[in-house]
Amino acid sequence: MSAVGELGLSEVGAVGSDALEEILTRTVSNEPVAAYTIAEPLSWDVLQQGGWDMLGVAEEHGGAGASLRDLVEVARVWGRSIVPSPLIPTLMAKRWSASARECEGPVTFSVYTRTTGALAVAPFADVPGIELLHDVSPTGSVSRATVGHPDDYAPSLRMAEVDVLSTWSADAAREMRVVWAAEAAGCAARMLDVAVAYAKDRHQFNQPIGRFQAIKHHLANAHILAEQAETAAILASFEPERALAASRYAFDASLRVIEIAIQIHGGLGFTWEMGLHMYLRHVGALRELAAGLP
Amino acid sequence: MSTETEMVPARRANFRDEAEKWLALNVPDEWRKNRGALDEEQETRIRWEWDRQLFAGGFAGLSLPVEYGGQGLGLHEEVLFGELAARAQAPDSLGRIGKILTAPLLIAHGTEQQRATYLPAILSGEQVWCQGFSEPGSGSDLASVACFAQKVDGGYLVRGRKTWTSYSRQAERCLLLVRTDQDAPRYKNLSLLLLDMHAPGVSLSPIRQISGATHFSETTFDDVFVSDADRVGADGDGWAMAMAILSSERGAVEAVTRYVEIRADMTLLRECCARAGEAVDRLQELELRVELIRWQVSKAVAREEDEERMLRSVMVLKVLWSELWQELTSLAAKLSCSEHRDHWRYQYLESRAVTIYSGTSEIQRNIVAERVLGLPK
Repeated sequence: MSAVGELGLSEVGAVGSDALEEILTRTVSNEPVAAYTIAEPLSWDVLQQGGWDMLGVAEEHGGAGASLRDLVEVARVWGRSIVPSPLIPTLMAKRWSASARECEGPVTFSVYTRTTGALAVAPFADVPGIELLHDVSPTGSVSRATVGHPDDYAPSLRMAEVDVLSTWSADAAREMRVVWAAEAAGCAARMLDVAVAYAKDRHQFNQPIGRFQAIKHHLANAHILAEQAETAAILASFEPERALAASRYAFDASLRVIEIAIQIHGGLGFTWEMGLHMYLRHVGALRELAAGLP
Repeated sequence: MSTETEMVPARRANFRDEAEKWLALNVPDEWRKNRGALDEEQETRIRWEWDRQLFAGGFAGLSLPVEYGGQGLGLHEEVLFGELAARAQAPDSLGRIGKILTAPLLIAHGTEQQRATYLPAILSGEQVWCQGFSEPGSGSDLASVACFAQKVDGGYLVRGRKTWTSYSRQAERCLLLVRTDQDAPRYKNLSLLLLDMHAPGVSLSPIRQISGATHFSETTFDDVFVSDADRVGADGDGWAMAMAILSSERGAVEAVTRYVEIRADMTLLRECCARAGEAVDRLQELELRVELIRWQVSKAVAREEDEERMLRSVMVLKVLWSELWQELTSLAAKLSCSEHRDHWRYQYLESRAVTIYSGTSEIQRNIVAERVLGLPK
């Protein structure tokens, strides 16, 4: 639950993130993450009809006027369930560009990639009908992307190589970094909850493993890191000069939380079916995407 | 920094301005300019006087109720004042144990007579308190305290030893955790007493620390009488009350004060290293983590109305600032900051204590795991 006014959170951010959490919970809470990340659990129409793609657009351009601080809260909620839908890139594209706002469907953009022989990579590039924003700034134009080789490391992000490298205004790149960092912090918060629940439930040596101090300290560290990842994303939304360092910290801390969650699950955590790796892949890929921003 | 005003908004109009002005006029120059060069007697005198100044200025007991002589404000103002005072290089309160532990304890569990006797003296700075919890044989396992208070007519006779007692030489009273029942089960066998440090049978011996300083004593009680009127709560309730006052939102006030001190060390270290071009990445990471402490405190304070969420954010603070400060002083001791070598050597040694006192980092992690995450004991 988010409280209005909490560190500058506005009503749009508080109510919006709570409502989105409800939608996501209803959609996927009973589904295994390993299954829904490779399916389409939430159709784009639902998000668009709810106006979610216009959440971060200024009110004078017909949006809900969410601040960057508000979007941190929204992205954090999104990160909790990593539904494979292009909401976050679309709402950032529409926040920054008039031509993106004219698109009915989803919009993405690309960032630099270190993959040999490739120019750029874009999240959700293979979503049917998605447009690619060439310049993430108030003057950018869009076109259908020519999609190349898919990068299937993180199924929940549906990345693929594209033939256009988007340019970014400095502010747009900074905001994207902050929002992805918040998404990573949401992933960490969810994995912490899952690991704590597992430690209470799983018995070895005739007791819940959560009673062992070695497990407690792992989870206490995970809680400390998850708190710090969230705080880093909030800090980054307020202090532009520290946004780069803070978002890097949030990615690294969040990954560590997920690594600990996998360790707590033992062998089960190493299975594809359990799905914890989907979060590990998701945050690892977000970190790469953020590193590809100018 | 401009964002701070928004981060910790004071609810009493002008509180920030009033506090800043008052601090600018009242922080003694003698302290600000000679800190580190003062002997213990001078230090004690200035800190004692500071408590009286705080009271006269209306800044004592900020979050304590007005009816008991406090200011009736909240955690916001406590944290804000802690930050401003640290920035103004104000002295620490000599009566901090009385204000932080005894006063809230008496407000929650004391008798009317205890409140009337002690609260005015604590808040005005007249009466300094020390804390008698740890013992040579009871550190992290605090519930195992052996110092025994034997029931006698009209009160108790206390016999045993306490250790790591700060302020023992100035304290008039001691908030003492003792065993009052040799047969009752663990956690139900302890009581809290308000002991007179000038009573016959109290003796002190100083403890020299690895830094060379002597901030603590070992205190011995040899049949010291404490009357029934000076027991807080019921016989056997000591443990529950002690835990409640130790793990509270006070951690946010402590952390913001530490933030200002660590910030000063961080700035000094960066100045040294900028010239040498050393450890750039490591310094950037530490710099960010210092600022994360400030934001973590703000996050906790913003959640004041929702205790569970507030505690989730508060309970990580001690581990964060203590371990960060150690990393910082370790790095400083390794780098070639020769002009401040004495400072860094001292800080390096001093900082070994912070992950040990007030609940070791290991105990802090147990508390996070059990109370915040709900893992089984």
